Amino acid sequence: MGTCKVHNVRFYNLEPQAINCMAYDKDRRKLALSRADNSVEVWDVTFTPHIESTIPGHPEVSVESLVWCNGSLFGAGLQGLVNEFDLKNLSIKSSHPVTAGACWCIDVDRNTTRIAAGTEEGYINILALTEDGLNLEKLLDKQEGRILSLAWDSSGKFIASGSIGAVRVWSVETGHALHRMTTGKQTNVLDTLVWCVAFAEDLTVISGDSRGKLTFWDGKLGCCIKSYQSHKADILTLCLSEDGKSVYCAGVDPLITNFEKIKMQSGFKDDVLGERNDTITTWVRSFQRRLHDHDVRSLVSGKGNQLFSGGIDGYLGISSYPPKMLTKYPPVPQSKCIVLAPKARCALFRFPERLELWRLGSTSNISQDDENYSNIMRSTGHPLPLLDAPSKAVELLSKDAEPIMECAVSEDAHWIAFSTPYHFRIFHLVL
Amino acid sequence: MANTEVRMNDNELVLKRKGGGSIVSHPPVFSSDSEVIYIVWGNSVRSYSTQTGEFLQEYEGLTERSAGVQLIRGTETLATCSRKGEIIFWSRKSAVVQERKVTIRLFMPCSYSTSGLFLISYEFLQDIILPPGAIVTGFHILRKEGDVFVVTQNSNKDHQSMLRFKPDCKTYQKLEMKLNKQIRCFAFGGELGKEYLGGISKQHLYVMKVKEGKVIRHTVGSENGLVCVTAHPTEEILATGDHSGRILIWRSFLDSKQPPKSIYHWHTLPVSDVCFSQEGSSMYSGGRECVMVKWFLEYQEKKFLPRIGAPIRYVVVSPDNVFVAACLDDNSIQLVNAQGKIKRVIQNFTWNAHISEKLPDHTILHKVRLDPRTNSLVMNGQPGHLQFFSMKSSKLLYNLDVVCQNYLTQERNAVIYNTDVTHVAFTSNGNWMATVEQRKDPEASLEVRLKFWKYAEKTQNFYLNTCVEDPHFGEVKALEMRPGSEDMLAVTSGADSKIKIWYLFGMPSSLEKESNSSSRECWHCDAVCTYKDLPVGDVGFSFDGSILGAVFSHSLTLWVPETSDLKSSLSHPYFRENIRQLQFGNGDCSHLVVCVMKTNVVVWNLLSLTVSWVVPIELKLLAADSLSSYMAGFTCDRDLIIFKPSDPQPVYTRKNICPDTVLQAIFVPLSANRSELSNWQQKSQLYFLNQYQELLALENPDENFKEAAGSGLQGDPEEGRILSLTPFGRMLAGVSQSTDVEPIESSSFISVGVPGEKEIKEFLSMPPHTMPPLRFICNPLLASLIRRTRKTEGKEDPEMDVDEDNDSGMESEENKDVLEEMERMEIIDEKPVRKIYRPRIESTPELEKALSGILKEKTDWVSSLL
Repeated sequence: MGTCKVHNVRFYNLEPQAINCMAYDKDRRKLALSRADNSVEVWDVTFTPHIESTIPGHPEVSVESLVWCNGSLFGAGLQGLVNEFDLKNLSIKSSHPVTAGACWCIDVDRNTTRIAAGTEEGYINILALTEDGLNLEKLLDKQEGRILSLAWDSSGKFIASGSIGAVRVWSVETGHALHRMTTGKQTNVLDTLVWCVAFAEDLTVISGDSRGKLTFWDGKLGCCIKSYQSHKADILTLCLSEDGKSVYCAGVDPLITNFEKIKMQSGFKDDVLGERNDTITTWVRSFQRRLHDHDVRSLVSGKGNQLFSGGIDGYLGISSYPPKMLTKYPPVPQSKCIVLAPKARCALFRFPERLELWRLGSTSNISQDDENYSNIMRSTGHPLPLLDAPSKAVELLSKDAEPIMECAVSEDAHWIAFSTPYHFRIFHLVL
Repeated sequence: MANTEVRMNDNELVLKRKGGGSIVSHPPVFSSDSEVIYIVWGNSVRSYSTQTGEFLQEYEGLTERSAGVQLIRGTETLATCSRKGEIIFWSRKSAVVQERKVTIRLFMPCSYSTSGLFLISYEFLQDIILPPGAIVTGFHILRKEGDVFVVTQNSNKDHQSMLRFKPDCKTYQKLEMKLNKQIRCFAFGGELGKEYLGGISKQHLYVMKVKEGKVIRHTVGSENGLVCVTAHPTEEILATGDHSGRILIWRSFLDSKQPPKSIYHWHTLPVSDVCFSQEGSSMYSGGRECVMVKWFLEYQEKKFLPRIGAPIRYVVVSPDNVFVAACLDDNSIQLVNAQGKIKRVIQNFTWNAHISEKLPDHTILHKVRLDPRTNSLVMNGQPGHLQFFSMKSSKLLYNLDVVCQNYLTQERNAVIYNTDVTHVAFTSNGNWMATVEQRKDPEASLEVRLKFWKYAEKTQNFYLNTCVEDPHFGEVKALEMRPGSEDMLAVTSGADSKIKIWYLFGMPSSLEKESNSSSRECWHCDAVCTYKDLPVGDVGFSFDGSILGAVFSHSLTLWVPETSDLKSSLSHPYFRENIRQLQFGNGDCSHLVVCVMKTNVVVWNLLSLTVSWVVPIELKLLAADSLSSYMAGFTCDRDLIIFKPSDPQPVYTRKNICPDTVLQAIFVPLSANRSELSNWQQKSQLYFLNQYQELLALENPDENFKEAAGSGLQGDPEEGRILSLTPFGRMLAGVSQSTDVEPIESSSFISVGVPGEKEIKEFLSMPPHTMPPLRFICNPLLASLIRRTRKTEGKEDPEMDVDEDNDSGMESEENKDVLEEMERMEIIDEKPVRKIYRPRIESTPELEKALSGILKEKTDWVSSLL
């Protein structure tokens, strides 16, 4: 067997792109997730999870929140727009501006007819889904401070929203807030940010905040049922399981904690009437799992007890318990990211927003007569002594930080071509 | 009397438990008002005050060791079950309610009465259900007249089973549970009427609604087996601890198939016990890390109580949440308050828990010794410590840290060896103590240290004087210090077939000036002796210290200790077994040496250098009395033999003295000769330790043994009745007690009963408006207090009489009846005193006068009779 030299490339350091938010389409079993570079990946998780398509991100179209509506994907961003993505052309199909400032969160109701979007200035926009696209249906009362998170209840009549220091329950019909439930502060200086809310079946509102507290509120009465100091730091995300009987939450403290709804004997006993068997439902802390080493940004529950998790480390975790299972999918670049120019002994590396051309290092030519030859060859895998270290020849930055989709280099490394979603560029290189 | 005694047929001596024993074998129970804690002690239950930590009373009646104690819910009934399945109910306060009864128990087989305290003897339980070799290890009584659950263990099975009896205990049903072999393998919880049961095996949690009786099995997915389970008293919460140190909190396990479990993980070693606080918002746990952890269930917070002293066995929370009782491996129960401060410690013997658990790192002293200074028993305590247990007051005096090293806690998958003391010896005056400690780790080389300690009068403590690393090559086999003589000399024998003689030397004069006077002496090895390269065994000194005897295999060699000259070597051609133990005779047998061999006991005469006698008997232990020439031997069949070295015929034998293995035996000198006893008991009392580390002694059955009562040995149940030393304090404690059945203390420093209690009680119970003027009551009241105290001191004080005369002289007519009343009471009081305390009477002046009269009488005529 012939021998060949293997270049050990240790200078191509791609940074993993953090997962920002996720949305799961349970009918089509598709998972959409947005990354820190504003790209959106659509995963098919019916069988073996795989990436179906990637919508390239634009630096000026941030994706803070994603929802699926009848097979179409909507995203909201800091630009104050709710965008519909074109999953075929992998671009933004349409954009709908929302009232006042950045849009932090969107959620769709159970019948997938309306989308609610919460904004920087405290408005909740109700957008109706029509055949023509999104139409602004109504605006709920303005509240003070940004709306960080919101959730529809199952009937579509109420919306729970989380903002600075308070959780509100809104009546969609009247547009007024029914309850304002204050979270309290840990210190006088720091405001409590309600990062995430969820609406459980029995009008229980669940909120996670920057103190690391998970609070269960009675949405009918507007009072706190139970509060758990479940995390040491901010709870960034929470999700209800498919059957609505358990809640997962995680955040800056990456421990994913599960809370389960149980029925308990009520404290009230009636000795005269005998067995009354009054039961109350309560939420108790259940298992905890550490799936990620860094902040968990997003949790989405799938079929059964399947749980999707993603965060700063960029890995998509697919787990379940019980039975205890975990699969993690690393953020691997999808298209070709290394192109070689063999004649020029160069390699072109693709980064999200730039290209780098490296001249590979060379080793001394050891003849077979050399007495060292046999020794060196025998020790397969040992590094050969380098004559020239690899050196960076060119670094090309894409204009306006547009994401680079594809790239190519000619064999003699005189031509470099790349494309962005909007442009195609060719460079002539004179080295 | 107490059922702890085993009556004998041949003579009157009975075996009595004098102290020691485990108080942490089973988890304790708090009373519903949290004032009292109940502790299982052998085959009885003892109650201690949580406020003072003092012993209150003993609940007796079981004939076998108890398998736990339980306060039946909603009642004042205390229940316990013996290992043979016999269940006893006590009224919790019975000693109070039925204060004047001699026995506080009524035995009513197979019946139950609600008005008092009673015993149900489930004879059929013993006879029918339990196969031979099986024992009951736990029980639970649901409620008054409710079902009885009993956990039984069969020695040939690796799990325990649970039986459920109907209230009449005639029918039973075996539950489908295979429980772990641990005390905390089951737990009952839930509100009255909605009780549930949780039981654990390694991989499963069994739960059952008690009413429905259907067992549900939950499987724990991990390979780490469950080790303990606790239930919440009212809510549906179970806590299980597992081998990896995690605590799982289970909820709604009765209905759902996959109940939610929360994990609380801090322990690195298996969790020994978990206990919920009463409202269920927090829990306490402990393990071998010697740290008690308080968990707040809803928050992630936990509080620690570190360095609690010893590994934790059980944790129990009092009903008012004020105290947490942590039972530790060193046989103490620490009552910790809610702030995490140790408030009370209930302690018996400090205990080397490993001995009974047969952990591989257990070591035990080769010979228990008496500290000649305090007359206290010196034996192993916590690992690396010696405990000094006062025989006079039956209290732990102190623990001496000999190895001066931190206790290394055990690890989950490895055995950690601690250094422990193997030998100790004292000089006759108690000024010097020698110890040998060793660490025998099979992975590492042996560590042996010989230490000499000097007693400092000023601080009343031992101070390390000399430390010798590896005094022998290998283990030290024996250590003795020369008795009697002023010349300080110690001898050790080791596995290297050598005996070494150690001398106390003063430092060279040049150094003397520099060093301070206290440290100028130290011990040196003076001589090394070998004999024919034979392995060396026991060593011993003759009672005057003039001859050193050393065993080399089958030969007994005699040496002059000062010069280390071999005087003679004795070995008999027929008896060539190794000599296991060597004991020089005492008193009139001081020319005799007893050699214990494997199958023979050989006695040599040192004057003629011949064998005096040989008896083929297998002795396991031999103890010699230091005040008389008697020796006690224990055979492998647990027979006790008392003999004199001069006579092969035993003085006293006792077959199968106790059902347990005897580990150690020692004669403890009595403070006074007791001529009414048999010869061998006159000067010293023989104590021995069994495998449960209980201190046992043979005594006359009905005698209130003066030595014991005076010393207030804890084994004496009557003694502990003294709750408080003042009548007011006694009343505060809510205990009324008649003083006339009270045993009276003989020692002067402990007052007897409560002086003047009656008078004060009367004084307080009288309505104020019917009272005579205070100036009339004052004198007799005070007098009653004084008189009683004086009387117990055993002297009729002439001054006292004068006072009394003056009083009566000065009293007016109306006060006379008070005085008369008082005198009458005195008479009542005195009678039992005389009954119990014959020795006391001896010392009264009248008696002395009478006795001296008898002494003067001529006794010549007696000889004519003979």
